[in-house]
Parts: sequence; structure tokens; C-alpha cells
Amino acid sequence: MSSRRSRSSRQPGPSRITDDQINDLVSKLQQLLPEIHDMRSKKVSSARVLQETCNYIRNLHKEVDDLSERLSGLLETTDASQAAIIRNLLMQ
Amino acid sequence: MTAQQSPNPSSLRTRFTYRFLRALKELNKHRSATSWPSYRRVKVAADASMAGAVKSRRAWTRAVLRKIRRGHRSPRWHRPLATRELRRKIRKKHGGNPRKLRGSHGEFGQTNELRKLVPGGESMEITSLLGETAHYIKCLSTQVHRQREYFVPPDQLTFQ
Repeated sequence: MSSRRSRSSRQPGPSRITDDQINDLVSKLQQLLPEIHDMRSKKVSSARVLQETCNYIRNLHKEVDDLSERLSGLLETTDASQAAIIRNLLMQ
Repeated sequence: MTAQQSPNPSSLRTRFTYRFLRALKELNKHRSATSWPSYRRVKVAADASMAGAVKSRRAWTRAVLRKIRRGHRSPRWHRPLATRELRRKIRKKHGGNPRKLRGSHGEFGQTNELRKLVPGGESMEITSLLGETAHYIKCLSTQVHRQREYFVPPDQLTFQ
């Protein structure tokens, strides 16, 4: 009982985040961004990576909105939607 | 932590497509069942399919599904009511002011913006926010690619 307590008090809380950890995560993020993923040789600041991440997510959201709108238009015309669904099923 | 939880793109794609087609079929069946405009229903179907297709439950998928469930009960999409409750929760969890928490990593001022864009991001600490963001981007781009394929003429489809 007492040993458990002493162990838990010795352990650093979840707030111990090192800069290395964050840099590692940021560089992973950078590899996913089409705009700057091949700029690994040059130094890209974390702020820039985060800014690009925000832009990229915003673009993807916009594209989902746009595609959903077009897809709903496709669904309105039943024949086209059937064709699309069959086509996609065949693609699997 | 990250290696085993990163999505397998090919199976994720298949699971997403399966769920999405099933959702579209349901949509077609009950075309005028809800008062939402139909593009919104397609978008919700796509988002829900992607969140459901991720095998390991992530914070962001839970947030997406929670948001959709809430949206079903109330026609209002964003419910500002939630923010006060959320703030209280964060304060309890981190023992401090959420505003202070956000700004605690000096140069990461942009994280505020990121928190608004990643589902559930408001209540994450910085490392999970970055991890969830990476995972979310992968899934979202898969979703966009798949949705785009509906508009590619059949003879131009490439099998990856």
C-alpha cells in the first residue's frame, strides 16, 4: 500500500512533455502535408507546419462539402446514382 | 503508441466505402425523412462512415460520432451550450484555466486554430492533439479520394 503510494508520487505527471516529443510529432505531421512534405532537407519551423496543417484540413473540409453536394445531386437522379453505386461496387 | 494505431490505408478505404454505400442506400430509401438538406445528409453519412471505419477508437472518431448523434436529436448543428460544460471538464482534468493551457506552449500559438479544426481537439493536451491531427488528416484524405471517385468516368478509373 505504502509502496504503491510512493511510486505514484515519484512518477512525473502527464504534463512532462519534452520538446523532442513535440518536434517528432510535428515532423510526422509535416510528412503528411503535400505542400511541404518534401522540404525535409530545409528547416521548416513548427509554426509553419501547423499553419500548413490548418490550411490542409480546411481544404479537405471544403472538398468534402463540395463533393457531398455533388453527390447529393447525383442521388436526386435515381438512375445516375444506381449507376454510380454499381460502378463503385464493381471496383471493390 | 502511434505505429500500431496508424490506419491501414487499403482496408480503411474498403471499410469506408462499404459503410458509405450502405448509408447512401439508406438515404435513398428515406429520402424525405429528415428536414436536413440532402447535401448535409450525404456529408454526415460520409463523416460517420469514416469515423466508424477506423478500427482503433480514437478521440477524434468519438468526437465525430458524438457530434452526429447530438445533431440527430437537435436540428441545430453547433450547440454553443456545450462549450461551458466542456470548459468545466477541462478545468477539472488539468486543474487550470483552459485558456492558459492552450497558450502554455509559447510558439505553438497555431494550436488554437488546430483545436477548432480537429474534432474533439478542444480538450486534448498538445501531444495527443498532434497525434490525432496526423491520424485525422490521413483518414480525411482517404475519404476525399473515395468520394472523388464517384465522379471519375469509368474508363478513367485506376485501380490502386
